[in-house]
Amino acid sequence: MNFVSIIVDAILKAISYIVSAIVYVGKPVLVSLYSNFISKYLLAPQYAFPNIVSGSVGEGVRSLYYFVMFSIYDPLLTIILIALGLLILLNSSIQLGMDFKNIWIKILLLLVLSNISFFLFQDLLYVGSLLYTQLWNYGVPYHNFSSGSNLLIGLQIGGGSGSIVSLLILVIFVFLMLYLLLFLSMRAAILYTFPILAPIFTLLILIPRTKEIGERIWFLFLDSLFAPIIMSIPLILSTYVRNNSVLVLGFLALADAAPTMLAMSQSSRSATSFLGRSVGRGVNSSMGYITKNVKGAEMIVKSIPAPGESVAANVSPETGSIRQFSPLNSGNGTSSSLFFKVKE
Amino acid sequence: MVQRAFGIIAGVSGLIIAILWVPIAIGYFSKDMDRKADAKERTKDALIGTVIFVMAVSGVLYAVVHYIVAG
Repeated sequence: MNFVSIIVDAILKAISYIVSAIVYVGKPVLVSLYSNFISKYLLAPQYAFPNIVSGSVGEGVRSLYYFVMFSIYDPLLTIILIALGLLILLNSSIQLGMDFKNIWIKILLLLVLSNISFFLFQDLLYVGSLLYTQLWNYGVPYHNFSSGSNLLIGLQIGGGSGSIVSLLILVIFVFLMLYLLLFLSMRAAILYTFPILAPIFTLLILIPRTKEIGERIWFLFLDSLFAPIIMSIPLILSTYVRNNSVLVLGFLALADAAPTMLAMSQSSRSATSFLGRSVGRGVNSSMGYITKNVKGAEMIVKSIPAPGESVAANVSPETGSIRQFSPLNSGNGTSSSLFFKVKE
Repeated sequence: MVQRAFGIIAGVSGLIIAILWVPIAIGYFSKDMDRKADAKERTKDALIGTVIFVMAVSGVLYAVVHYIVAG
């Protein structure tokens, strides 16, 4: 055995020992990360659904809320309502043709909503905590998701079975756990931040162009608020798994992804007015383009004489006259194509 | 100084409202019945706009919000 092969053998053995060591301590580290950080400070009911006006952060929330209301909300409300009042008056005076149907009721409801939004968010947190506490106390002591060892009981890595595959699974678990930590930390920050901003964002619903931004803060807050309730179900189910690392991985991944998936579906719903219209218009235009070009092709094919027929009997094809450049949108959607207009 | 600014704002606002009410008021004096009916329709909207505008400019809404938030 030469020197190089001895060195290579030693390196490979060292790597395998390192991998085994990492895999060996992997599960205890994951359990510790979950139990001592995620569960203790982010999933426990008093942290998952906190009283946002108590404690040192609560003091900051209260003082910032008053500051925002008096220094930003009040002037903004005055400006928006002056503009809106003037616009309504202008519309009825010189007939601008705008539709202000039931505007009085809308303004009144939005004013009430923006003023009570902070207190409404507090009430929603209270309702959420009532629901969540039931799930938190479910299945004590072996099927309770507050404990990391319960959650990862079905995970079969570590011990003497250290391998590259185990290491890869472990890395995925670490990423999922870190994602959970990040998501829940951000959620906790959202719970304290958004109630302060909610009155201003609710006011934006009054203006047609900023309506979506105003609505988004409510959706985001509700998504964040109820996320632990949705996440707790797969987490509880994973405490029932035995000797199936893949299923534990699946439940953990679902717990991570479920709130995001719900949030995505809501944001796409709120974006429908813009995205849906654009996509619909594009599809209509493309269909019109295809149909018209098929018609054009039919015309060319019909005009070509069949074998045995005389050319004079048919109209000769006018190559190049079928399509003519025209602006993108001609208005009615049926006769227009995406870039070209077919000459009728 | 502040009092003077308030006076100017109130005066300008009153002038704007008066000017914008003129076309609606003219409709009431028209002999054409359609124009008269149209003026009646527009009065409701104009009234809503005026009330919102006056409440915002006069600071009534500001005071209401202060009362709700601060008690």
